[in-house]
Amino acid sequence: MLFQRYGPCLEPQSSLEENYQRTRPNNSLRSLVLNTRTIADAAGSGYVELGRTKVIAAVYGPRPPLRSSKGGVENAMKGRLTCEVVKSAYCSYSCESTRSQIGKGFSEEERLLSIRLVRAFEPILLLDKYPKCSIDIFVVLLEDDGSAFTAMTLATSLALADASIELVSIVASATVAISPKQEYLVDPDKTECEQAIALITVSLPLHATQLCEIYHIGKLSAEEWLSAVQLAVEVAQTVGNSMCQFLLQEMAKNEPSNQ
Amino acid sequence: MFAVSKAEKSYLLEAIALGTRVDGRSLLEYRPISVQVGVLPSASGSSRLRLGETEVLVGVKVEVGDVAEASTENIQIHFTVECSGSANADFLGREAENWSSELQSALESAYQAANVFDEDRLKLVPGKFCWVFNVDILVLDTGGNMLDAISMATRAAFSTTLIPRVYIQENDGVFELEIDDNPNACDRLHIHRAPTFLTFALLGNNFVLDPSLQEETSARGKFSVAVDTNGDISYVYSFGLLDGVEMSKLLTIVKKTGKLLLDRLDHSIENDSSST
Repeated sequence: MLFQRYGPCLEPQSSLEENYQRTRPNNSLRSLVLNTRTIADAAGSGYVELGRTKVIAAVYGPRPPLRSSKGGVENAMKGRLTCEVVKSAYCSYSCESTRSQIGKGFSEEERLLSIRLVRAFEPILLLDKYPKCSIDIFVVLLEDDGSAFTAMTLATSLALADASIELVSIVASATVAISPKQEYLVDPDKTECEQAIALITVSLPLHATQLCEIYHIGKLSAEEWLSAVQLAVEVAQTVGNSMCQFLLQEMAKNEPSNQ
Repeated sequence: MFAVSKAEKSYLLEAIALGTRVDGRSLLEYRPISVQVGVLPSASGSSRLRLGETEVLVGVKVEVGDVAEASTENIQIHFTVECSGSANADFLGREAENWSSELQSALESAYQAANVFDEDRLKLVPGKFCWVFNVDILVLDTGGNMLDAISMATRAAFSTTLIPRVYIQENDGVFELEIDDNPNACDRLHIHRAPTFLTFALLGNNFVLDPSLQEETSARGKFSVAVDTNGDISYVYSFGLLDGVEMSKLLTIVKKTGKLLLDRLDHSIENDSSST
Protein backbone atom coordinates (compact mmCIF):
# COMPACT_ATOMS: atom_id res chain seq x y z
CA MET A 1 0.00 0.00 0.00
CA LEU A 2 1.84 2.99 -1.29
CA PHE A 3 -0.35 5.73 0.12
CA GLN A 4 -0.22 4.38 3.64
CA ARG A 5 3.40 5.24 3.68
CA TYR A 6 3.57 8.38 1.63
CA GLY A 7 0.09 9.84 1.96
CA PRO A 8 -2.45 10.04 -0.81
CA CYS A 9 -0.25 11.60 -3.50
CA LEU A 10 -2.66 11.04 -6.37
CA GLU A 11 -5.60 9.47 -4.62
CA PRO A 12 -8.44 11.92 -4.18
CA GLN A 13 -9.67 12.16 -0.63
CA SER A 14 -13.18 10.93 -1.51
CA SER A 15 -12.09 7.52 -2.77
CA LEU A 16 -10.04 7.10 0.38
CA GLU A 17 -13.11 7.72 2.48
CA GLU A 18 -15.18 5.16 0.63
CA ASN A 19 -12.62 2.45 1.18
CA TYR A 20 -12.13 3.44 4.75
CA GLN A 21 -12.40 0.70 7.33
CA ARG A 22 -11.60 1.01 10.99
CA THR A 23 -8.98 -1.62 11.70
CA ARG A 24 -9.29 -1.79 15.46
CA PRO A 25 -12.28 -2.36 17.74
CA ASN A 26 -14.56 0.64 18.24
CA ASN A 27 -13.66 1.01 21.88
CA SER A 28 -9.89 0.78 21.65
CA LEU A 29 -7.37 3.57 21.44
CA ARG A 30 -4.62 3.95 18.92
CA SER A 31 -1.09 3.32 20.16
CA LEU A 32 -0.16 5.94 22.71
CA VAL A 33 3.39 7.24 23.04
CA LEU A 34 4.33 9.45 25.96
CA ASN A 35 7.57 11.23 26.61
CA THR A 36 8.84 14.07 28.79
CA ARG A 37 11.90 16.31 28.66
CA THR A 38 11.84 16.64 24.91
CA ILE A 39 12.84 20.29 25.05
CA ALA A 40 15.99 21.00 27.01
CA ASP A 41 15.43 24.69 27.65
CA ALA A 42 11.91 24.51 29.02
CA ALA A 43 11.01 24.05 32.67
CA GLY A 44 9.03 21.04 31.57
CA SER A 45 7.95 19.50 28.33
CA GLY A 46 5.84 16.65 27.08
CA TYR A 47 5.43 14.77 23.86
CA VAL A 48 2.38 12.73 22.94
CA GLU A 49 1.61 10.51 19.99
CA LEU A 50 -1.89 9.21 19.48
CA GLY A 51 -1.49 7.04 16.44
CA ARG A 52 -0.17 9.55 13.95
CA THR A 53 -1.32 12.65 15.81
CA LYS A 54 1.81 14.15 17.31
CA VAL A 55 2.03 17.03 19.77
CA ILE A 56 4.85 18.72 21.67
CA ALA A 57 4.10 20.93 24.65
CA ALA A 58 6.57 23.04 26.61
CA VAL A 59 6.05 24.90 29.87
CA TYR A 60 8.09 27.93 30.82
CA GLY A 61 7.67 29.28 34.29
CA PRO A 62 6.78 30.23 36.89
CA ARG A 63 8.63 33.31 35.72
CA PRO A 64 8.04 37.05 35.72
CA PRO A 65 5.65 38.00 32.95
CA LEU A 66 7.34 38.95 29.69
CA ARG A 67 4.81 41.45 28.43
CA SER A 68 2.99 43.38 31.06
CA SER A 69 -0.47 43.18 29.59
CA LYS A 70 -3.78 44.09 31.14
CA GLY A 71 -4.72 42.86 34.56
CA GLY A 72 -1.40 44.00 36.06
CA VAL A 73 0.24 40.69 36.85
CA GLU A 74 2.96 42.47 38.79
CA ASN A 75 0.58 43.06 41.66
CA ALA A 76 -1.68 40.09 41.20
CA MET A 77 -2.18 37.67 44.06
CA LYS A 78 -2.62 34.87 41.57
CA GLY A 79 -0.36 33.64 38.85
CA ARG A 80 -1.36 33.92 35.24
CA LEU A 81 -1.61 31.12 32.73
CA THR A 82 -0.99 31.82 29.06
CA CYS A 83 -1.04 29.45 26.17
CA GLU A 84 -0.01 29.53 22.54
CA VAL A 85 -0.97 26.78 20.15
CA VAL A 86 0.72 26.54 16.77
CA LYS A 87 -0.27 24.15 14.04
CA SER A 88 2.63 23.18 11.86
CA ALA A 89 2.24 23.92 8.17
CA TYR A 90 2.56 20.25 7.31
CA CYS A 91 0.22 18.87 9.96
CA SER A 92 -2.47 17.59 7.61
CA TYR A 93 -3.16 16.81 3.96
CA SER A 94 -5.99 19.23 3.50
CA CYS A 95 -5.36 22.24 1.31
CA GLU A 96 -6.74 24.61 3.96
CA SER A 97 -3.69 24.12 6.09
CA THR A 98 -1.34 25.25 3.33
CA ARG A 99 0.21 28.50 4.27
CA SER A 100 -2.47 31.02 3.51
CA GLN A 101 -1.97 32.03 7.10
CA ILE A 102 1.67 32.99 6.87
CA GLY A 103 2.43 36.40 8.27
CA LYS A 104 -1.05 36.75 9.70
CA GLY A 105 -0.11 35.73 13.20
CA PHE A 106 -2.45 33.17 14.65
CA SER A 107 -5.19 31.55 12.68
CA GLU A 108 -8.71 31.45 14.04
CA GLU A 109 -8.40 27.79 14.88
CA GLU A 110 -5.12 28.17 16.76
CA ARG A 111 -6.57 31.00 18.79
CA LEU A 112 -9.61 28.94 19.78
CA LEU A 113 -7.45 25.99 20.76
CA SER A 114 -5.33 28.28 22.93
CA ILE A 115 -8.37 29.68 24.71
CA ARG A 116 -9.73 26.20 25.29
CA LEU A 117 -6.45 24.97 26.77
CA VAL A 118 -6.19 27.92 29.12
CA ARG A 119 -9.75 27.44 30.30
CA ALA A 120 -9.30 23.72 30.80
CA PHE A 121 -6.16 24.13 32.88
CA GLU A 122 -6.96 27.28 34.85
CA PRO A 123 -8.99 25.55 37.57
CA ILE A 124 -6.46 22.70 37.74
CA LEU A 125 -3.38 24.78 38.44
CA LEU A 126 -2.91 26.10 41.95
CA LEU A 127 -2.35 29.62 40.70
CA ASP A 128 -2.59 31.03 44.22
CA LYS A 129 0.83 29.56 44.88
CA TYR A 130 2.47 31.60 42.14
CA PRO A 131 1.67 35.26 42.83
CA LYS A 132 3.06 37.81 40.36
CA CYS A 133 4.17 35.03 38.07
CA SER A 134 3.30 33.87 34.64
CA ILE A 135 3.22 30.27 33.50
CA ASP A 136 3.46 30.02 29.76
CA ILE A 137 2.51 26.96 27.76
CA PHE A 138 3.56 26.50 24.16
CA VAL A 139 2.02 23.72 22.14
CA VAL A 140 3.00 22.62 18.66
CA LEU A 141 0.79 20.30 16.70
CA LEU A 142 3.25 18.41 14.52
CA GLU A 143 0.83 16.13 12.77
CA ASP A 144 -2.95 16.10 12.90
CA ASP A 145 -4.65 12.76 12.41
CA GLY A 146 -7.77 13.42 14.45
CA SER A 147 -8.32 13.88 18.21
CA ALA A 148 -5.77 16.69 18.22
CA PHE A 149 -7.18 18.51 21.24
CA THR A 150 -7.00 15.34 23.30
CA ALA A 151 -3.33 14.93 22.41
CA MET A 152 -2.68 18.59 23.25
CA THR A 153 -4.30 18.24 26.67
CA LEU A 154 -2.29 15.13 27.46
CA ALA A 155 0.97 16.73 26.33
CA THR A 156 0.28 19.89 28.34
CA SER A 157 -0.53 17.78 31.36
CA LEU A 158 2.75 15.89 31.06
CA ALA A 159 4.68 19.12 30.57
CA LEU A 160 3.14 20.73 33.65
CA ALA A 161 3.91 17.67 35.75
CA ASP A 162 7.45 17.62 34.37
CA ALA A 163 7.87 21.29 35.29
CA SER A 164 6.77 20.41 38.87
CA ILE A 165 4.01 22.98 38.79
CA GLU A 166 1.49 22.33 41.51
CA LEU A 167 -1.69 20.85 40.13
CA VAL A 168 -4.93 19.60 41.60
CA SER A 169 -4.48 16.51 39.49
CA ILE A 170 -3.19 15.20 36.19
CA VAL A 171 -5.61 16.06 33.41
CA ALA A 172 -6.70 13.25 31.12
CA SER A 173 -8.74 13.61 27.99
CA ALA A 174 -10.54 11.57 25.36
CA THR A 175 -12.42 12.08 22.10
CA VAL A 176 -15.40 10.04 20.99
CA ALA A 177 -16.92 10.24 17.51
CA ILE A 178 -20.36 9.02 16.57
CA SER A 179 -20.26 7.55 13.09
CA PRO A 180 -23.14 7.80 10.57
CA LYS A 181 -23.96 4.20 11.53
CA GLN A 182 -24.52 5.31 15.15
CA GLU A 183 -21.38 3.57 16.37
CA TYR A 184 -19.37 5.13 19.15
CA LEU A 185 -15.77 5.35 17.98
CA VAL A 186 -13.14 5.99 20.61
CA ASP A 187 -10.12 8.09 19.62
CA PRO A 188 -11.18 8.74 16.01
CA ASP A 189 -8.62 9.47 13.31
CA LYS A 190 -8.92 12.21 10.72
CA THR A 191 -11.24 10.36 8.32
CA GLU A 192 -13.49 9.28 11.15
CA CYS A 193 -13.63 12.85 12.47
CA GLU A 194 -14.64 14.17 9.07
CA GLN A 195 -17.34 11.57 8.56
CA ALA A 196 -18.67 11.68 12.10
CA ILE A 197 -22.11 13.10 12.80
CA ALA A 198 -20.97 14.18 16.24
CA LEU A 199 -17.66 14.65 18.03
CA ILE A 200 -17.19 14.92 21.77
CA THR A 201 -14.01 15.82 23.61
CA VAL A 202 -13.95 15.52 27.38
CA SER A 203 -11.10 16.52 29.71
CA LEU A 204 -11.09 15.70 33.37
CA PRO A 205 -8.81 15.84 36.40
CA LEU A 206 -7.98 12.23 37.10
CA HIS A 207 -8.28 12.29 40.87
CA ALA A 208 -11.54 14.16 41.18
CA THR A 209 -15.03 13.16 40.13
CA GLN A 210 -15.41 16.25 38.05
CA LEU A 211 -14.99 17.35 34.47
CA CYS A 212 -12.95 20.35 33.42
CA GLU A 213 -13.95 20.63 29.79
CA ILE A 214 -16.57 19.32 27.44
CA TYR A 215 -16.67 20.25 23.78
CA HIS A 216 -19.28 18.78 21.55
CA ILE A 217 -20.36 19.45 17.98
CA GLY A 218 -22.98 17.57 16.01
CA LYS A 219 -26.63 16.80 16.46
CA LEU A 220 -27.58 14.28 19.13
CA SER A 221 -30.45 13.67 21.51
CA ALA A 222 -29.80 14.34 25.19
CA GLU A 223 -29.72 10.65 26.11
CA GLU A 224 -27.26 9.74 23.37
CA TRP A 225 -25.12 12.66 24.37
CA LEU A 226 -24.96 11.60 28.00
CA SER A 227 -23.96 8.05 27.12
CA ALA A 228 -21.26 9.34 24.76
CA VAL A 229 -19.89 11.57 27.52
CA GLN A 230 -19.93 8.60 29.88
CA LEU A 231 -17.87 6.57 27.42
CA ALA A 232 -15.41 9.42 26.92
CA VAL A 233 -14.99 9.76 30.68
CA GLU A 234 -14.18 6.07 31.04
CA VAL A 235 -11.63 6.19 28.23
CA ALA A 236 -10.05 9.34 29.64
CA GLN A 237 -9.61 7.64 33.00
CA THR A 238 -7.78 4.71 31.42
CA VAL A 239 -5.52 7.08 29.52
CA GLY A 240 -4.94 9.10 32.68
CA ASN A 241 -3.96 6.01 34.65
CA SER A 242 -1.36 5.02 32.10
CA MET A 243 -0.06 8.59 32.14
CA CYS A 244 0.36 8.43 35.90
CA GLN A 245 2.21 5.16 35.62
CA PHE A 246 4.50 6.63 33.03
CA LEU A 247 5.26 9.67 35.19
CA LEU A 248 6.06 7.48 38.18
CA GLN A 249 8.42 5.39 36.07
CA GLU A 250 10.16 8.48 34.79
CA MET A 251 10.54 9.78 38.31
CA ALA A 252 12.06 6.52 39.50
CA LYS A 253 14.44 6.56 36.56
CA ASN A 254 15.62 10.11 37.23
CA GLU A 255 15.88 9.84 40.98
CA PRO A 256 19.45 8.45 41.25
CA SER A 257 20.84 11.23 39.09
CA ASN A 258 19.22 13.88 41.28
CA GLN A 259 20.93 12.75 44.42
CA MET B 1 -12.07 45.82 32.24
CA PHE B 2 -15.04 44.81 34.32
CA ALA B 3 -14.08 43.68 37.80
CA VAL B 4 -15.96 42.50 40.85
CA SER B 5 -14.61 43.21 44.31
CA LYS B 6 -14.29 40.53 46.94
CA ALA B 7 -17.19 41.89 48.97
CA GLU B 8 -19.45 42.08 45.94
CA LYS B 9 -18.53 38.57 44.95
CA SER B 10 -19.24 37.06 48.35
CA TYR B 11 -22.59 38.91 48.50
CA LEU B 12 -23.44 37.54 45.08
CA LEU B 13 -22.47 34.00 46.01
CA GLU B 14 -24.35 34.05 49.30
CA ALA B 15 -27.47 35.29 47.60
CA ILE B 16 -27.23 32.54 45.01
CA ALA B 17 -26.72 29.91 47.68
CA LEU B 18 -30.06 31.11 49.12
CA GLY B 19 -31.72 30.71 45.75
CA THR B 20 -32.01 34.30 44.59
CA ARG B 21 -29.93 36.65 42.52
CA VAL B 22 -28.71 40.19 42.95
CA ASP B 23 -31.08 41.52 40.30
CA GLY B 24 -34.03 39.72 41.85
CA ARG B 25 -34.33 36.87 39.40
CA SER B 26 -34.60 33.24 40.41
CA LEU B 27 -31.71 30.97 39.41
CA LEU B 28 -33.23 29.69 36.19
CA GLU B 29 -34.83 32.83 34.88
CA TYR B 30 -33.96 34.92 31.85
CA ARG B 31 -33.76 38.68 31.93
CA PRO B 32 -36.45 40.48 29.94
CA ILE B 33 -35.97 39.97 26.22
CA SER B 34 -37.14 42.44 23.62
CA VAL B 35 -36.78 41.81 19.93
CA GLN B 36 -37.44 43.90 16.87
CA VAL B 37 -37.29 42.53 13.33
CA GLY B 38 -36.77 44.23 10.00
CA VAL B 39 -34.57 47.00 11.38
CA LEU B 40 -32.13 47.13 8.46
CA PRO B 41 -33.93 47.94 5.21
CA SER B 42 -31.05 46.90 2.96
CA ALA B 43 -30.63 43.45 4.48
CA SER B 44 -32.67 40.42 3.50
CA GLY B 45 -33.49 39.82 7.12
CA SER B 46 -32.51 41.60 10.28
CA SER B 47 -33.22 41.86 13.96
CA ARG B 48 -32.22 43.80 17.00
CA LEU B 49 -32.42 42.02 20.30
CA ARG B 50 -31.99 43.18 23.84
CA LEU B 51 -31.41 40.75 26.68
CA GLY B 52 -31.04 42.72 29.88
CA GLU B 53 -28.19 45.09 29.10
CA THR B 54 -26.86 43.02 26.23
CA GLU B 55 -27.83 44.37 22.86
CA VAL B 56 -27.08 42.85 19.47
CA LEU B 57 -27.90 43.69 15.89
CA VAL B 58 -28.01 40.98 13.24
CA GLY B 59 -28.29 41.35 9.50
CA VAL B 60 -28.65 38.50 7.00
CA LYS B 61 -27.78 39.02 3.38
CA VAL B 62 -28.74 36.41 0.80
CA GLU B 63 -26.77 35.96 -2.40
CA VAL B 64 -26.35 33.42 -5.14
CA GLY B 65 -22.80 32.16 -5.20
CA ASP B 66 -20.69 29.78 -7.24
CA VAL B 67 -19.59 26.44 -5.90
CA ALA B 68 -16.88 24.04 -6.90
CA GLU B 69 -17.92 21.46 -9.48
CA ALA B 70 -17.62 18.45 -7.23
CA SER B 71 -19.39 19.77 -4.16
CA THR B 72 -23.03 18.99 -3.52
CA GLU B 73 -23.77 21.82 -1.11
CA ASN B 74 -26.76 24.01 -1.75
CA ILE B 75 -26.15 26.43 1.05
CA GLN B 76 -23.23 28.25 2.57
CA ILE B 77 -23.46 30.27 5.75
CA HIS B 78 -20.82 32.73 6.85
CA PHE B 79 -21.01 34.26 10.28
CA THR B 80 -19.14 37.40 11.21
CA VAL B 81 -19.27 38.63 14.76
CA GLU B 82 -18.02 42.07 15.54
CA CYS B 83 -17.76 43.30 19.09
CA SER B 84 -18.11 47.03 19.10
CA GLY B 85 -15.22 48.69 20.91
CA SER B 86 -17.58 51.09 22.61
CA ALA B 87 -19.48 48.29 24.31
CA ASN B 88 -16.79 47.10 26.63
CA ALA B 89 -13.19 48.00 27.41
CA ASP B 90 -12.33 44.33 26.90
CA PHE B 91 -13.20 44.63 23.24
CA LEU B 92 -9.87 46.05 22.20
CA GLY B 93 -7.08 44.40 20.28
CA ARG B 94 -6.58 40.72 20.74
CA GLU B 95 -9.28 40.27 23.36
CA ALA B 96 -11.95 41.34 20.90
CA GLU B 97 -10.64 38.89 18.33
CA ASN B 98 -10.81 36.11 20.89
CA TRP B 99 -14.40 36.93 21.69
CA SER B 100 -15.54 37.17 18.14
CA SER B 101 -13.80 34.04 16.93
CA GLU B 102 -15.24 32.11 19.85
CA LEU B 103 -18.80 33.29 19.25
CA GLN B 104 -18.41 32.81 15.52
CA SER B 105 -17.20 29.25 15.76
CA ALA B 106 -19.93 28.34 18.25
CA LEU B 107 -22.65 29.61 15.93
CA GLU B 108 -21.06 28.09 12.87
CA SER B 109 -20.79 24.62 14.37
CA ALA B 110 -24.26 24.74 15.87
CA TYR B 111 -25.91 25.78 12.60
CA GLN B 112 -23.91 23.28 10.60
CA ALA B 113 -24.80 20.40 12.89
CA ALA B 114 -28.45 21.34 13.24
CA ASN B 115 -28.93 21.22 9.46
CA VAL B 116 -31.24 24.18 9.70
CA PHE B 117 -32.40 24.74 6.17
CA ASP B 118 -34.86 22.92 4.03
CA GLU B 119 -32.41 21.77 1.37
CA ASP B 120 -35.02 20.75 -1.20
CA ARG B 121 -36.79 24.08 -1.20
CA LEU B 122 -33.55 25.97 -1.61
CA LYS B 123 -32.17 23.93 -4.46
CA LEU B 124 -30.46 25.82 -7.27
CA VAL B 125 -28.12 24.07 -9.67
CA PRO B 126 -26.05 21.52 -7.73
CA GLY B 127 -22.37 21.87 -8.46
CA LYS B 128 -22.88 25.27 -10.10
CA PHE B 129 -24.76 27.70 -7.92
CA CYS B 130 -25.72 27.78 -4.29
CA TRP B 131 -27.28 30.16 -1.82
CA VAL B 132 -24.86 32.12 0.30
CA PHE B 133 -26.06 33.52 3.61
CA ASN B 134 -23.88 36.21 5.09
CA VAL B 135 -24.78 36.78 8.69
CA ASP B 136 -23.27 39.90 10.19
CA ILE B 137 -23.59 40.26 13.91
CA LEU B 138 -22.75 43.41 15.80
CA VAL B 139 -22.60 43.45 19.57
CA LEU B 140 -23.69 46.93 20.58
CA ASP B 141 -23.63 46.55 24.31
CA THR B 142 -22.59 43.82 26.70
CA GLY B 143 -24.29 42.83 29.90
CA GLY B 144 -23.17 39.23 29.93
CA ASN B 145 -24.41 36.19 28.08
CA MET B 146 -23.66 37.38 24.56
CA LEU B 147 -23.96 33.91 23.07
CA ASP B 148 -27.62 33.44 23.96
CA ALA B 149 -28.52 36.92 22.78
CA ILE B 150 -26.71 36.42 19.49
CA SER B 151 -28.27 33.03 18.82
CA MET B 152 -31.78 34.32 19.49
CA ALA B 153 -31.22 37.39 17.34
CA THR B 154 -29.82 35.23 14.53
CA ARG B 155 -32.86 33.00 14.63
CA ALA B 156 -35.14 36.03 14.58
CA ALA B 157 -33.27 37.51 11.63
CA PHE B 158 -33.34 34.23 9.71
CA SER B 159 -37.04 33.69 10.29
CA THR B 160 -37.82 37.03 8.67
CA THR B 161 -35.36 36.57 5.81
CA LEU B 162 -36.93 36.78 2.37
CA ILE B 163 -35.49 34.70 -0.46
CA PRO B 164 -36.07 36.03 -3.96
CA ARG B 165 -37.61 33.64 -6.47
CA VAL B 166 -35.17 32.39 -9.02
CA TYR B 167 -35.97 30.93 -12.42
CA ILE B 168 -33.43 28.56 -13.86
CA GLN B 169 -33.02 28.25 -17.62
CA GLU B 170 -30.78 25.78 -19.32
CA ASN B 171 -29.35 26.35 -22.78
CA ASP B 172 -26.99 23.63 -24.02
CA GLY B 173 -25.66 22.88 -20.58
CA VAL B 174 -25.21 26.54 -19.68
CA PHE B 175 -27.38 27.57 -16.78
CA GLU B 176 -28.81 31.01 -16.49
CA LEU B 177 -30.41 32.33 -13.38
CA GLU B 178 -33.05 34.95 -13.56
CA ILE B 179 -33.97 36.61 -10.32
CA ASP B 180 -37.49 37.95 -10.05
CA ASP B 181 -37.47 41.74 -9.99
CA ASN B 182 -40.75 42.03 -8.21
CA PRO B 183 -39.97 42.78 -4.56
CA ASN B 184 -43.11 40.92 -3.50
CA ALA B 185 -42.06 37.71 -5.21
CA CYS B 186 -40.15 36.43 -2.24
CA ASP B 187 -40.43 33.39 -0.03
CA ARG B 188 -40.00 33.28 3.70
CA LEU B 189 -37.23 31.07 4.95
CA HIS B 190 -38.35 28.17 7.14
CA ILE B 191 -35.95 27.68 9.98
CA HIS B 192 -37.83 25.76 12.64
CA ARG B 193 -34.77 23.64 13.28
CA ALA B 194 -32.52 26.60 14.09
CA PRO B 195 -31.05 26.13 17.56
CA THR B 196 -30.77 28.57 20.39
CA PHE B 197 -28.05 28.63 23.00
CA LEU B 198 -28.65 28.36 26.70
CA THR B 199 -25.79 29.40 28.93
CA PHE B 200 -25.35 28.57 32.58
CA ALA B 201 -22.71 30.02 34.85
CA LEU B 202 -21.38 27.98 37.73
CA LEU B 203 -21.37 30.08 40.88
CA GLY B 204 -20.51 28.31 44.10
CA ASN B 205 -22.29 25.01 43.70
CA ASN B 206 -25.25 26.37 41.77
CA PHE B 207 -25.90 26.82 38.11
CA VAL B 208 -27.57 30.05 37.11
CA LEU B 209 -29.18 30.58 33.72
CA ASP B 210 -28.46 33.69 31.67
CA PRO B 211 -25.61 35.16 33.74
CA SER B 212 -25.22 38.92 33.90
CA LEU B 213 -21.80 40.50 33.39
CA GLN B 214 -21.24 40.59 37.12
CA GLU B 215 -22.11 36.93 37.49
CA GLU B 216 -20.05 35.97 34.47
CA THR B 217 -16.98 37.67 35.95
CA SER B 218 -17.30 35.89 39.29
CA ALA B 219 -18.23 32.50 37.84
CA ARG B 220 -15.86 29.57 38.10
CA GLY B 221 -17.26 27.82 35.08
CA LYS B 222 -19.66 28.04 32.19
CA PHE B 223 -21.89 25.58 30.38
CA SER B 224 -23.35 26.47 26.98
CA VAL B 225 -25.69 24.23 25.04
CA ALA B 226 -27.33 24.73 21.66
CA VAL B 227 -30.76 23.16 21.63
CA ASP B 228 -33.60 23.06 19.11
CA THR B 229 -37.36 22.67 19.54
CA ASN B 230 -37.13 18.86 19.63
CA GLY B 231 -34.66 19.03 22.48
CA ASP B 232 -31.79 17.79 20.34
CA ILE B 233 -28.35 19.10 21.15
CA SER B 234 -26.10 20.45 18.42
CA TYR B 235 -23.29 22.11 20.36
CA VAL B 236 -21.95 21.95 23.91
CA TYR B 237 -19.04 23.79 25.42
CA SER B 238 -18.30 23.79 29.09
CA PHE B 239 -15.29 24.69 31.16
CA GLY B 240 -14.55 24.96 34.85
CA LEU B 241 -14.83 22.04 37.23
CA LEU B 242 -18.32 20.63 37.16
CA ASP B 243 -19.79 17.42 38.47
CA GLY B 244 -20.74 14.76 35.96
CA VAL B 245 -23.98 14.03 37.79
CA GLU B 246 -25.18 17.61 37.38
CA MET B 247 -25.29 17.26 33.63
CA SER B 248 -28.39 15.15 33.23
CA LYS B 249 -30.24 17.57 35.51
CA LEU B 250 -29.04 20.51 33.44
CA LEU B 251 -30.08 18.85 30.22
CA THR B 252 -33.67 18.39 31.35
CA ILE B 253 -33.79 22.09 32.22
CA VAL B 254 -32.24 22.91 28.86
CA LYS B 255 -34.83 20.86 27.00
CA LYS B 256 -37.76 22.45 28.78
CA THR B 257 -36.54 26.04 28.82
CA GLY B 258 -35.23 25.84 25.27
CA LYS B 259 -38.58 24.82 23.88
CA LEU B 260 -40.40 27.50 25.83
CA LEU B 261 -37.91 30.15 24.77
CA LEU B 262 -38.09 29.23 21.10
CA ASP B 263 -41.89 29.13 21.10
CA ARG B 264 -42.12 32.51 22.77
CA LEU B 265 -39.55 33.96 20.38
CA ASP B 266 -41.36 32.64 17.30
CA HIS B 267 -44.64 33.90 18.64
CA SER B 268 -43.41 37.43 19.25
CA ILE B 269 -41.67 37.59 15.87
CA GLU B 270 -44.89 36.46 14.21
CA ASN B 271 -46.79 39.23 15.95
CA ASP B 272 -44.17 41.84 15.25
CA SER B 273 -43.78 41.15 11.54
CA SER B 274 -47.50 40.87 10.90
CA SER B 275 -48.16 44.24 12.51
CA THR B 276 -45.61 46.07 10.37
